[in-house]
Amino acid sequence: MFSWKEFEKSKKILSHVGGHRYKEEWGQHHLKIRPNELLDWFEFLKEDLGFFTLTEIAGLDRGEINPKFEVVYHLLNMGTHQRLNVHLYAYEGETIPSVTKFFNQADWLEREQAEMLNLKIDKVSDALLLPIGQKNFPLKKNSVIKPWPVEKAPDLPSLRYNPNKSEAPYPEEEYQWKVFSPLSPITRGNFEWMVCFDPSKVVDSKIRPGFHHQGFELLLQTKDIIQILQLVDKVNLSAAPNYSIAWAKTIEEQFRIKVPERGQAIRIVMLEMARIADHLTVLSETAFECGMQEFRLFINAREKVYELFEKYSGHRQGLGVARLGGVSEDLPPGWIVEYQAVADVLIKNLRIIHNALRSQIKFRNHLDGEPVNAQTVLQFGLSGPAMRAAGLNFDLRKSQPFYFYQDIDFDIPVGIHGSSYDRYLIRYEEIFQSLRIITQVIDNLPLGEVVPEAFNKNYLELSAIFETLEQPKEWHYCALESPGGEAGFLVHFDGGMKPSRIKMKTPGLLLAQALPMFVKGLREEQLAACLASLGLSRWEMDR
Amino acid sequence: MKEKPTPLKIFNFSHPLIHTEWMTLMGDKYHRTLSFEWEMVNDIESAAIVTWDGIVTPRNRELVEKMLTQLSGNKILLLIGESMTLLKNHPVVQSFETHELKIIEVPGWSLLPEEILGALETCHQKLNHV
Repeated sequence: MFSWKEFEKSKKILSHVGGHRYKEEWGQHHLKIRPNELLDWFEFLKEDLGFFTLTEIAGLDRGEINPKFEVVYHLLNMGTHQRLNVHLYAYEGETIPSVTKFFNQADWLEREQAEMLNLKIDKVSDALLLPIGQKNFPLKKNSVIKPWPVEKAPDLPSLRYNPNKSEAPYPEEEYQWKVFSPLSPITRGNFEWMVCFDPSKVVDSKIRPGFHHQGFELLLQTKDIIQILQLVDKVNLSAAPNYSIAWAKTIEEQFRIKVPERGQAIRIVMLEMARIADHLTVLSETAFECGMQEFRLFINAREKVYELFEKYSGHRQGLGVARLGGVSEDLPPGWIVEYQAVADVLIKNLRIIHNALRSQIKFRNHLDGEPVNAQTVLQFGLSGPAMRAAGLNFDLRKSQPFYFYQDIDFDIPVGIHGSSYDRYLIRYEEIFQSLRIITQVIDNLPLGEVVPEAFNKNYLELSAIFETLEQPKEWHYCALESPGGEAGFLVHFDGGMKPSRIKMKTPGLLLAQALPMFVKGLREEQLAACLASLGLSRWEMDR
Repeated sequence: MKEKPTPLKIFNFSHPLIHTEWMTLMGDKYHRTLSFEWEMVNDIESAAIVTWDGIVTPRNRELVEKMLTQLSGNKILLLIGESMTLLKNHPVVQSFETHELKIIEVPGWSLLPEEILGALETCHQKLNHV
């Protein structure tokens, strides 16, 4: 439970120990340190102050200013809901210690920053998203991108030890590696996957992502804040408009813009509709991978949600909803009546489909699996249905409520075992909770405008307005609960309309990193269903 | 007894923008609206149509080459998002003689299910009446 006393206490300790290096600004906590203090600070923050989750790492090349690099570690304390930005300043060529000792998820996050900025981080093995052995550092200031080296497929990794020696039914010699290329039906174009079988069950696996990496963050840094709004939704289309609303929320917090009440309410409606659509997509993919023909029925249900989106904004898939300061337009006449009809159909149909699915042994067999406990999930810094299925009750809509979420009556479904079937059930139940939220919001829809009068302008007028506002010059983190987990942005402004660094927080990257943990002990025919139930989006992983 | 025609086989080598809309096409609203049977397959060898967004990244370059070599004979490449204009000068694609391939482009980023169905109809015609 959240305790204000604990929150204030840890703030006091931080300001006492950190001294002038700690500051609180607009609800964001900042701590500035040097590389040689990093490990001591992290031990203190994790063990004594309870910052158990490392949410994101973002590096920034400061150009001419010394020290040249700034690396921001964004930490979260799930108990007190406190968030802390640890700023680390490093000179060029200076070695930064690795924090994988404290946080398992830091591995991929550090590798990503090291390859993008030429940071020297301890124990960083090889590139993650870019070709191995490359000499181009895209996020470095004044970097010249030369032709990329042609990368050879890596050799099969060797097992350093027998991971489950005590219970292994087969001798180690019978272990065999299989490679699922991106063209294989199991990975479906997302990544290359090397899996070790014992030989019936999965023992270990290794992922190689980056096949779709196009430098999306670099692209965003060439645009200004209004243009970015249109682009970010492409990260995960089935979850649109989550990312554009997250971006609008980031900018509104930075420039202190107040969203009108009706705008907030419509944003909640759209976010929840997107949640329903994304969950239905994942459910249908899960059913499809289990060999169930019922997957068509989930798609038919999703089509009803897309029709509602189309009636609202003219786009299917929830595009064109968000505006800086509000939403694009008011709900059209008759929309609410139509929503109620759709909600009735959804509630009736989903129960029928679920009953048909769960009674089939084939479906349950595909989704059964080894349990994943909450401790492991916490170590990998996961969020969303994958975390809640393992029994952790953490949802940004409850823990750090934005808009009207604190006034709405809804429940957070929590699983027990963390298996694929639990994730399926969580997503299934969240659809009903989302319908409950939307019904409450449209029953009490506030009156008024949806965008402030001053911001209801075209592009040129709007950018002129933003230039007159006070320009932020600090790091800022803002996130919301997307269907897959915590999604948001860690942004740095340097004055001006273009952010100097945007780091996207996507749930997909950390999920992919934790994938070997989820598939351990599964049979080969269960792999595809397990992957589908995680809801990985390849652009969330690769950017 | 009349033989059942074999369904048109499609392999999707594309990104999620179209991926979610393919799922839509599998639903009742759009499925069986075409005059012929079609299905999605997982292996590129058996497919008659390969869809692609035309994106070549440093890492998937090897994969793209593999895919382009398989596009011989009776296969059609269905390109999404005006990618041909982007691809013309790309070193990977230049080494393949693209004028020998059968290419159909879906213009713009308009990805309504109806437009994908229209493109499939065109592919079907091109496969059968050349």
